[in-house]
Amino acid sequence: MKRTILKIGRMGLFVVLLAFGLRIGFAPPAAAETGAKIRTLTETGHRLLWAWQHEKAGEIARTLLDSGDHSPETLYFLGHYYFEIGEYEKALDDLNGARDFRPAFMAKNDYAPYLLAAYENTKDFEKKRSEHFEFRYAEGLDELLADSGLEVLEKTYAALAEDLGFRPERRVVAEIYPRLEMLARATGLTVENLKTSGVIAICKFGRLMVTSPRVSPFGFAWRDTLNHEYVHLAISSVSANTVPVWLHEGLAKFHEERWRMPRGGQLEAGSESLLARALKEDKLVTLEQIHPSMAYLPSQDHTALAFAEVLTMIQWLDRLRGADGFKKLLGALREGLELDAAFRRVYGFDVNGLQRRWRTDIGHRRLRMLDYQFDDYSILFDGADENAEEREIRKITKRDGRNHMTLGKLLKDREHPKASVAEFEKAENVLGPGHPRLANFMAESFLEMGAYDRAAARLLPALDLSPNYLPSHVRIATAYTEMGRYEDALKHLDYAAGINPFDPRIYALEVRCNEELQRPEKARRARKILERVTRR
Amino acid sequence: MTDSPSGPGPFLARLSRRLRTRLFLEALLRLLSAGAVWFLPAFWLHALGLSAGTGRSVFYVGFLASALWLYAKYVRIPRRIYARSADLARLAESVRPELRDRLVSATEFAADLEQDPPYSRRMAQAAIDALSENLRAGSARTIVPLSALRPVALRTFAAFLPLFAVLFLAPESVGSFWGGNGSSAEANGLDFLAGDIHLTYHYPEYTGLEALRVPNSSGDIEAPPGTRVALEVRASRDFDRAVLDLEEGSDVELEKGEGRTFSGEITVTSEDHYRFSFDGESDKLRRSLRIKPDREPFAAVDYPPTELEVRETDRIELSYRLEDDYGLKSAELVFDYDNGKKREERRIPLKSFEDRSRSFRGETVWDLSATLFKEGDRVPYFVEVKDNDSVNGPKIGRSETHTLKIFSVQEHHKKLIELQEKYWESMIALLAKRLEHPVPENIRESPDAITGIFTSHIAELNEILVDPLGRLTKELEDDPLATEAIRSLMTAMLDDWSMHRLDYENSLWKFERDLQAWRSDGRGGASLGVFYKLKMLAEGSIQRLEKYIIDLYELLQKQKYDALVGDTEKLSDIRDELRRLLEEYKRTGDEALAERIRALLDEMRKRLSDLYAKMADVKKETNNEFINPEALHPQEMKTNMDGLDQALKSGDLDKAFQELENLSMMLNDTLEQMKKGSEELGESLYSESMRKLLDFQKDLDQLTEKQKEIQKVTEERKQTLQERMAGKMERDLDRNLAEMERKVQEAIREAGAVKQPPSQSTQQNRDVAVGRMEELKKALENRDVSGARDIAELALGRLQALSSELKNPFLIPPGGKKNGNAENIRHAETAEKRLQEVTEELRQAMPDPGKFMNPEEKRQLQEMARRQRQLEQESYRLRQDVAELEKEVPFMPPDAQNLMQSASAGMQQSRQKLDEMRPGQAEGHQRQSIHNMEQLKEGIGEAMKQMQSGMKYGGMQPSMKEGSGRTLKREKVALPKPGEHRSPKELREDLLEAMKRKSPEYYEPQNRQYYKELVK
Repeated sequence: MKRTILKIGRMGLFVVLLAFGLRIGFAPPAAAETGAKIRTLTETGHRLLWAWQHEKAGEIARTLLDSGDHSPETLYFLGHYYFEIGEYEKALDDLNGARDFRPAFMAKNDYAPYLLAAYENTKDFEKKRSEHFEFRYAEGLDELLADSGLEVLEKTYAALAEDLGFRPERRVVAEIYPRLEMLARATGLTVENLKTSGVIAICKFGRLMVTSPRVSPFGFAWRDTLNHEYVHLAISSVSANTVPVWLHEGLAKFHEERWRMPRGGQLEAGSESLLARALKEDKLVTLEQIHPSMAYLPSQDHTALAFAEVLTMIQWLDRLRGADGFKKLLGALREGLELDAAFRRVYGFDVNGLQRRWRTDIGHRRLRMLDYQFDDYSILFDGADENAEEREIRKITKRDGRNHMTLGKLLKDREHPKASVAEFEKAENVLGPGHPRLANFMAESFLEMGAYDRAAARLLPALDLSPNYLPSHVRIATAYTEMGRYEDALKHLDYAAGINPFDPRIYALEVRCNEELQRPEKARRARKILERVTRR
Repeated sequence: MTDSPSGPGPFLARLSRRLRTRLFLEALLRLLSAGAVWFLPAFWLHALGLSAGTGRSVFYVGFLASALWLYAKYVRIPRRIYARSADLARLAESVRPELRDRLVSATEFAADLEQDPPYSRRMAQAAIDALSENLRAGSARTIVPLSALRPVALRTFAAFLPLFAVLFLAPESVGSFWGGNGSSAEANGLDFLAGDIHLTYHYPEYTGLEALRVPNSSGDIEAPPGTRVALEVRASRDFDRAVLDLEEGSDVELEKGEGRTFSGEITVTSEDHYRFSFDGESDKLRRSLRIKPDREPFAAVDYPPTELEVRETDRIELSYRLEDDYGLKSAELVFDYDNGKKREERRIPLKSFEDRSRSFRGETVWDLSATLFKEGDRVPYFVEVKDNDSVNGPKIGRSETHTLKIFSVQEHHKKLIELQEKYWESMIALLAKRLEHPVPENIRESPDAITGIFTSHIAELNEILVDPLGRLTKELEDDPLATEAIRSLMTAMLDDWSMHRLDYENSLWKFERDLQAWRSDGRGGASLGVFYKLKMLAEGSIQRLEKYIIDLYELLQKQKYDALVGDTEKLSDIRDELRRLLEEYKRTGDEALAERIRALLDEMRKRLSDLYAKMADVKKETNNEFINPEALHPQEMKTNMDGLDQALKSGDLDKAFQELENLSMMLNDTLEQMKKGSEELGESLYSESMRKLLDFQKDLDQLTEKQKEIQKVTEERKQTLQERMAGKMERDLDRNLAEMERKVQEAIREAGAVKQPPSQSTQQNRDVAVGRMEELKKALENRDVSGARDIAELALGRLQALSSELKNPFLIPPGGKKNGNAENIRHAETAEKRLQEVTEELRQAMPDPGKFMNPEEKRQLQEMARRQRQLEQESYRLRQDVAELEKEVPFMPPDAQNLMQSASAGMQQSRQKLDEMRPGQAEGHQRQSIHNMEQLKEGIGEAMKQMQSGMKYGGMQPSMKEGSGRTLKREKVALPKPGEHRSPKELREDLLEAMKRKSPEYYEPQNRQYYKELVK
């Protein structure tokens, strides 16, 4: 009963604030009105920004601008508003105008340090715009991301408009950072947090902040990441920032490939295996552990497991009520309902009920558990992680398989492809088909021997198990190119560019495929990029 | 020549006179020319330094030769040519055409008329008369005119021109040339005052040369410095005083002797010229005083070679040669080394000479431990020699500079790691070859192809695997930084490869033997079995290669990782120092500190580059994908260092600190990653193996404990039974004891009579059998029937094996004496027969133990047999585990399988004996099993220790061990001398030692042959 009263009270307060804000918006304060009214207005504006209601906060900002008020309260709010919509210079001007003024309720949420960081990060950035987005990036190689990034975001915009009914009026800002430290500075997280959890992108302060795939030795699926972060922005906006992290992440993961495929979300083999093992060993990450952020999880394995859990929960919910269910759930939360209440309203059970039902469901799903754990989900950082390949091999617990794989690689690297295949086949007998590294090693040997069809045949199961493992795409594209299957090759090359667009092998093959297909313009473009990425 | 007064006679006589005159004049002119011509070279030679006497001799010889030649040409030869009147007539005809055909005829007619001519005398006289008229009109002058001598006279004059020129230009020299012949200048009309010069050289003592007298000298002096030259000279006229007038030095007064002679002495100290001066009148001739140089002594180092790597504690044999023209004084070894603070020159006396030796060949031992050499230092050295020149002081000669490279443990270790990698690479190459070219199926029926493959495999095993590994393992013994893991692996590999090679060799030998038999008499042949054996061996090689490539690869990688950790830690130390200096600089502003900081930054950059290079080396085996270069630390660290440098230059110390902090963070990160990588690799290397070994050890412990329990109970049963049986057995024994002892003695004698056993195994069987029979004798003396029976059975087994081997035709050495072997067989069979009888009697004397047990005791023994069977089955499982572990686990004791197999066999035999109610024998087998298992446990414990060490971070990091460095063993580096090409003694000792060891009997023939070849 007490909880119900509290809920009603909170909802009431929100409605009152909203109404107050709107009223103010429609009726500007007279010059004679007191500073107290300004204070109320700006406070409402700040709270709207916290609730990711940028359009409404914008109305307050315009009202205040029209009023000609230059009080510190107003300037401090305007700074906040401009910061959230990505206009840092204006924001800095206003913040400077406000001098040392900080409203008491903003004491813990002062935007000033983040504004300064955002300004410092992006002051030399280039910009490109599409209808709904502004893409900011450091001059240089990251320019390669701009067109493709904007295309992805526009596609995501259309998909989410359909799925969640989210259509922001403002032009959403996406920033690409060439260094991980910049993301840390912009978000207030430490670099260590980011590295530990593998977080390379964050949606905060009304914008998308993504590090360039260049920060990772082997890149990452940056286009899906852009999509993922935009989903966060959509959820925060649609729900007025009332969605808990686990649900946020689940929905974002569920929708992260929307720019390129229908709804549903893909549980990759590596994540599936992690989940299967965690279920078997009863070592699931709890929903509480995910709070307040995925970035605080102790390892990338934990993060991957948490994602697998919440994704499969959302997949299960999707099977119950579909996209409509999500819209209603977010609507209920926006209304101010508690999470359990919102769930009960939409699905008829609370969060505990969800977890119970999910476990039953997941128990019935025949999750694949691999003998080895292959990290195509992990994001690698820094020089020492160049050893990732070696580490991947070491993770294979079947020593026989591991040894034969290593022997094969040693022979392959010394230009004994035939002998290496003999060893790889021994490894395959132990590990089974589809181990991404093994498949790539074998494919390399087959490519060297001119057995292109055999190379492709080894890579297909590997791509099925680890679709985001770039080398498989590059090698199968090589095999297809040699076999004359240029269109197939180009598909894989496009996928590869979505993981590491700075890998010159992609463009070298693209040039060849497009030339063979008599597409001189595309070939020319690919050649230009190739020159650029090889020149760095 | 006869002439008619009215005939051509008078004319020819005139002609003859005229001709002789002309020839004489021409000869005379030519002789003068020759004189002038020969004078010039003789004088020239004299001017070049030849003594006047010799010069004149040249002249005289030449002149005389010319005179003889002229005499021959102008006197003797014409005389012979124109000996007859007809010859002169022909000459006249040749000059006067109107006389042609007439003068010769007339001459002949005139001659004929004096005798009885065959033609008309009147006609002949008429012809003569007609000619006489003509001859009167002509003159001999027209036939031989003297005017023809004019060119000869001109040439003579030309020949004298150079002589006149010389006389004009250097009249004194010409005078000297002619004057030195003993005849006085006065007599010759020349103005030379000194003659008959005699010199006596008294060389300095150090030259060791005897005094030398030079009579009739030109007066020119040439001698080593310090030589005293005694002069005697005779003046051309009478003088009272003579002085030796030196151009640069002080004059030397000569003492007047008898007649016109004077004498004195001069010491050669420097080059000069002099003249004799008599009563103030100078001799015209300027004489030289030249120094004959005393050359520098020569030194050469024959060995060591120009560069040699040595340990700091070695003793080096040094061989050198010294030479000098007059005599050696002393020689020293000079070297230049780093004493830890600076380079210092040091000298070691080699030899000093008292006896004016001119050459010396010496050898010495240079004990390096007498000097504190720094590891890794390059020490230049040479031999310096002094001669015994006591006049101008000793001159110094030096050999070429040689270099000693002081052995560095670190460098040696690095070199060995490179060798290990090289060996590892060769294994990979061989694996590739074996995988790419497997034994083809179609060679099954081709014996020659099989032989070819066997042979090439054996050659590869030798050249690629066994021999290089043998050398490497030997070198590893001298590497204190080598890890135990590496040593163990290398040793295990060497043992295994050697056995594998022997297996190959044995198979080849058998195959060739069968093939030979097949070819000679159609027996046997290239069987399918041989083919499969070859396939099995080839597969065995591949499996071994696979295993060892991985084992070595992981160890090498781990070693490299640990070395990287060490390098990164050194970088961290520099970083700490940088921070300290930066703080001090901020406080004091001392510019010297800024310089030091920059120097440290440079060093850090260099070390960082080295680190990256090493990291790249480690990763080259793992990474073959494209990597975004921006994602790598190196760039950022370099950027930070540049930033720090820049900040320092601009004086922005806060920024410098900031950059240092960033750098520090990354460095820590790198260090952590390295440690993590090292430990991960260590864990990856050993964790699984450790787990498996722990499981196995647990099972083995349990099995051993259970076996001990059974053994304890069995021993109690054995004691009880022995006590009960003893009385009866002794009684039975007493009856036959003497006879049995006799038979045993005979068997010992017969076995001992087996001479020159054909194999080591045969010999061993004979020796062991004899030993056992001696023990049997003692057991009989002690009336221990049970023990005697056991021993007798063991001895019998050996004797049977001995007989069997002696009968084996393949074990008879080639050319072995057949008769001798037949004799051996007879002795062995007799011994076997006697012992068989003894054993039988002992068996009969030994009562059935079952009769001495009650039902309960029998039931207990049966129960123990059942438990023993369980343990036996468990042991089979553990045998399989050992086989698996040997494949997967590093450092497994090499005899693990054998030990476990022996333990199993012991359990099986124990179970059989328990079934037979013979606890005594069962207990012996149980003991053996327990002992085998304990040994295996010990080996496994050792393997686990090594793995634990390897798992730790830094477990493979090279570290100096106790006893290394300066306390390394002292060893003389003896360099091979000419003709020294035999295998080193150590190797031969190893071989000899190995020859003494027992080897499996089926390898015996090959082994013997192998060792024979090696130690030849």
